[in-house]
Amino acid sequence: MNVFKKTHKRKPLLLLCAMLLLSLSPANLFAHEPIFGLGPHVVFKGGFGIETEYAKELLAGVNELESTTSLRTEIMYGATGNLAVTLSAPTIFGHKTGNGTESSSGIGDISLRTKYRFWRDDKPGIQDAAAVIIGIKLPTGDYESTPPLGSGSTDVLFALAAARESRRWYYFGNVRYRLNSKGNTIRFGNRFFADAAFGVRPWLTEYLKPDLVVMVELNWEAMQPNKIDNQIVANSGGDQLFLSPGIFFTLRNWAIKGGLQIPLLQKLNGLQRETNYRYALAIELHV
Amino acid sequence: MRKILVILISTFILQAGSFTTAIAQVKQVRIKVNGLACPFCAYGLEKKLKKLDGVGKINISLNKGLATLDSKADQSIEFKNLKKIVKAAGFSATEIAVTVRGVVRKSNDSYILAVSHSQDELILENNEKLNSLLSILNGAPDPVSAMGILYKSKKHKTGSHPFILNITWFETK
Repeated sequence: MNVFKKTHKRKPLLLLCAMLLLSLSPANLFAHEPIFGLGPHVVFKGGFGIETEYAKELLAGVNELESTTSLRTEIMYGATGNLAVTLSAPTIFGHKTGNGTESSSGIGDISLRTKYRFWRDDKPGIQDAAAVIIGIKLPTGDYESTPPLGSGSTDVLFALAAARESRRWYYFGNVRYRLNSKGNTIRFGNRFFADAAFGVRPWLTEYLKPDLVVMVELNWEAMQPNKIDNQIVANSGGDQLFLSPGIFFTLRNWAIKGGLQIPLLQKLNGLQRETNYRYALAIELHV
Repeated sequence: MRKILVILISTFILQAGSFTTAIAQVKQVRIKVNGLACPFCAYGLEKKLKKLDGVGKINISLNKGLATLDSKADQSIEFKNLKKIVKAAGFSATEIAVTVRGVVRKSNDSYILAVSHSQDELILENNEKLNSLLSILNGAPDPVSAMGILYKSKKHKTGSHPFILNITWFETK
């Protein structure tokens, strides 16, 4: 049975696209951080980090596949050695079903995040750090376009991230909570995320040499059901757990990063399309 | 006669100028940096250190946790805010070693290495190396190359002598 009945085709489609847009919003891809989780990294004082990321999610329904793609640009500025501000804006959003392809382009929902690294302990070749992140997503994207460029709601993100980075090993952990407000007619359920990541640098290369870090993450997402007119949408919300291998390849101030999310567990309420996979590819420059 | 005098004075001034430049240099700075884990992050450190006056070549060794700064020809490396700069790059400087060329002179109860070209002066810590240096110099204002650990004086936080140099090696050429 297809959850998208023809009689109510447009509204659930928009709803789904907006949900995907929310789910595809990357946590933060800066520096040697997890691809899908968060880390306490900030850019150096007065420095800029510029990143462009391509992300895709493939969902599997009963009768058809559905894919969603986005292109996002982020700019991070190091206000101090421990405080960074990030502006994030998706610019292209595409959606493809068995029925056809739709794409929208333009500025999506702009997010602003501040990250404060409140604790740092430096040892030879090791940095332990913890940071708090507060972010806001503004309803700047057109939620009526097909597929929508925004969710139409103003949402707030709170997160706590900690990490140990060493020459050889990387350990990351974070928790995130996204408080979603009511958009046009839909109030997307709040989301809780918890991520753990482990990475290894196979070759201890020196500065100015090509450097590779291989990482694997566990990403848990707990989604509350959405509401329309204060009524719970039965086919929304649930839990997902992903195993996510990823790589970072860097050369001086350039980085290429990529990661794949493979679902381990999906307990979704009602009838929802399950995620087949998600991936993200990004290029980043520090200046 | 007047012409010859002018030429002689000009030659003396020019030579004195080049002599001052030659003896007045922080030639190399080696910073032990804690927290250096990834090459990508080290870019911030390179960028910050490059902004310092007099810095020519920079070498960052992640495996040794060391940043080495060589001076530009005939220039002295600005070293006063090194710890602050490393902190702004997101790391911690634990030890700063400098190779400096200057002239030793006595000031009150301590000896000072005058880096006159840059107007920097380092208080020389009283140790065995300083004593042997002083005995070799025997009061002569000869130029000295010295290497040592640099740290901020707790006694003289402000003023012209805020840094102390603990000499570990010297040469009187």
